[in-house]
Amino acid sequence: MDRPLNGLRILDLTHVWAGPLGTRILGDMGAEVLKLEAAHARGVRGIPIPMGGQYPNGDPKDEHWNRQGIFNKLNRNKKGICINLKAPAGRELFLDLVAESDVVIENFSATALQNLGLGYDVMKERKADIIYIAMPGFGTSGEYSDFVAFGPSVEPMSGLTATMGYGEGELRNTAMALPDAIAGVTSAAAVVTALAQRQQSGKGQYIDLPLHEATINMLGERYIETQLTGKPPNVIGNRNRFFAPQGVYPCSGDDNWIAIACPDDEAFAGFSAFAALGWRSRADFSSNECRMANQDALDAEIAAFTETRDKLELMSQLQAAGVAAGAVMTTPELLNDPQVSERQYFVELGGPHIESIPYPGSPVLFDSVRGTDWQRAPTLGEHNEEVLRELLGLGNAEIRSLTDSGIIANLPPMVEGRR
Amino acid sequence: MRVLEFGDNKAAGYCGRLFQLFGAEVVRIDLPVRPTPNDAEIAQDIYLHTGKKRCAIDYLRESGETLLARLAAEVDIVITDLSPIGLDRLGWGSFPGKLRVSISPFGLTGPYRDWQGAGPILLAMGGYTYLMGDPDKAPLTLQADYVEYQAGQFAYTAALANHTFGGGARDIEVSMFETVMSLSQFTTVMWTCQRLIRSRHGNRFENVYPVSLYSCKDGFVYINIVPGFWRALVALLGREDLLTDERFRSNTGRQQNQAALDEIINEVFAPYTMAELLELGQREHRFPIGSAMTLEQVLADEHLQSRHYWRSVAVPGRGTVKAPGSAFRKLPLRSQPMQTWEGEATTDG
Repeated sequence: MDRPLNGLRILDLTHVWAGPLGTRILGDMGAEVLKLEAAHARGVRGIPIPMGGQYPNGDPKDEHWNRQGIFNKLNRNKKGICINLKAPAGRELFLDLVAESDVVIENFSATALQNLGLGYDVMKERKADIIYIAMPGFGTSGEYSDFVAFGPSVEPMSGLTATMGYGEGELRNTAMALPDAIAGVTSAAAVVTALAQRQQSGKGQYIDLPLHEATINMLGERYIETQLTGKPPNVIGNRNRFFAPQGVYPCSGDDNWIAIACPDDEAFAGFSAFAALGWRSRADFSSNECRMANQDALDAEIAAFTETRDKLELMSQLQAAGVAAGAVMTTPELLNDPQVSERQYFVELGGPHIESIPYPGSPVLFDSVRGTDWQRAPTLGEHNEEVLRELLGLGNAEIRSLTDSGIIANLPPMVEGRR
Repeated sequence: MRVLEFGDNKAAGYCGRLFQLFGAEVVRIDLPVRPTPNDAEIAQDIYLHTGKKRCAIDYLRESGETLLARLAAEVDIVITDLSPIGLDRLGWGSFPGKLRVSISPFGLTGPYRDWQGAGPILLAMGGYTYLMGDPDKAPLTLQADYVEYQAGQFAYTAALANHTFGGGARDIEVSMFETVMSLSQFTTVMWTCQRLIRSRHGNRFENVYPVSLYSCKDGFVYINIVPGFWRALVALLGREDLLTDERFRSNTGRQQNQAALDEIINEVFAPYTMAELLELGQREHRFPIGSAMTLEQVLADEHLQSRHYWRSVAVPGRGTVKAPGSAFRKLPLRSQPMQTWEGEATTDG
């Protein structure tokens, strides 16, 4: 089966999480993604923080930039090219690639490409209908546009932190840079939108996609409700504002939990029948209104019921009883999960430089097919020659000259110097 | 382009919202008999469905089902988040529609196909909940429709791509459970690379410090001090001695001495307002800092106003509200045209 974006080419200058996630989605859908990097490998390839779990078997070997797990997770189905954009010849090469591409996407600071002399107007001179997606933290204009923006520090400015926590005064951040995951998926939507508009109009465009605004979009109804009611929703932990019970309850073993939600009387009746502790017949739990008024007591009863039970067994039992329940899962549990296994969700990828390990697949199936011909993430500059030869028609002498002058590379500079 | 949207979740609504912003004619089908909505439900309806055509059809009955099928045959894309059991009832396998898109909690196959899967359940099963909250307390869920909206974005992207560029598919299926798993940060890789399970650390980031939420005079600020910004934070703290203090010289040291470092940061931050710390951190010392803004503060924020981010929506009997506009916009930015929310249809349209 043809994937829908076959034949479209994305010039991808993104790094770290948001941008590479967006272009991974596009690559999964068939786009040819040219991942353009600098030899000094900004982002997760060159991550300067010694973090556990970043390399297969914990071993970066002598090419940490190619073995980084997160990089490999986010960059499947892409071709790797490594060009020095700070050199005039590198910039010229970049513009030659722009001329052959449909989309340029980057998530640098708001003015980075402009400062290199590679702004939208310059690109447009080479390719009149080019689509350019910029993903700065707070956008290309406005008071915060020059802010230093990482996902975790953008998150509280979206209002998300004000909605999350154990209660008023006990606010919590997700501590997982959620704006990156949001903007990443949004960027794939933005690219396809612009391509579809170009199909209609014949024109390219310059699109601004801030992490900040993408995250606010996830809370749209909360902002409207705040205006309708004159006050923002309270911080209520794991509870639901309109029904009870909903919570995350302890299970047997260390740090094991289960999420349970009963949005109506029927679900609570199912839960009550399964627990067989007489909840349904108690006056204080007899209606949703009563359960809302007595949530502390209800949650304590439920916790006492769940804490001696295995979370995975209880999840299956409650679901069989028609109750929305989900074990709070860790990665090894996910990898062994029957649903995940049967749908073959994880995809094993590896190569000469990196062991084959499972990575999360795509949540999208086209005619029941998830995709089977995926390619592992590229090593640094792996496709330099292929792309320059086949796309730009460069010959051996030109490629050798670009290599000798350091315009293209396939090793980080400090390693190049050592070898 | 014509899009038909129906179902019982919020994911199809978000997907349809994106098609509406794209310029498609989106027809939203609701069931006719619904309880009187509260303000939260009205707010969600305004957000997801303003600008769509509304029609009420009881597709749970045979005559309504026939009508829904007739409409589906007339459009380019049919989107639904009806449960797989509901889809079976409709005969989804042979349902009309040039391109049919289903968004369901666990997908259309597998042992969990017919399980109940609201957002908090899917966040728990998909690996998010375990990471959020304090290590000595119950993990936390998100109070947002993150799963539904992200799945809606995937569905929109796949459907628009397939419709526009002819991938040839007739059916697109998006699993919300798989959506959550596909958006893991370090979690899956930490295990598959090195058999490490990522755990939760409150507001702190696991491997870098100081990355956390700190209180100040009128609220909280979040700082994200990866090693390259340590000097900038020290300059704001006015404590150059920390650069040579053995406890704090390395990221490892700062992680091992979090309590001592927090005490210093808290003491310096306490007299400042969020706005003052934002100014000092971002403008004077150039490091990533963000203030924990309330929803009211975000609504009043001048940065967003100057970018014409909000879209005005007239709500009959309730005045005008600001609703988030598109998350991505063509430059130069222009104000987004005002819309009117017309509410749900209550009779067949």
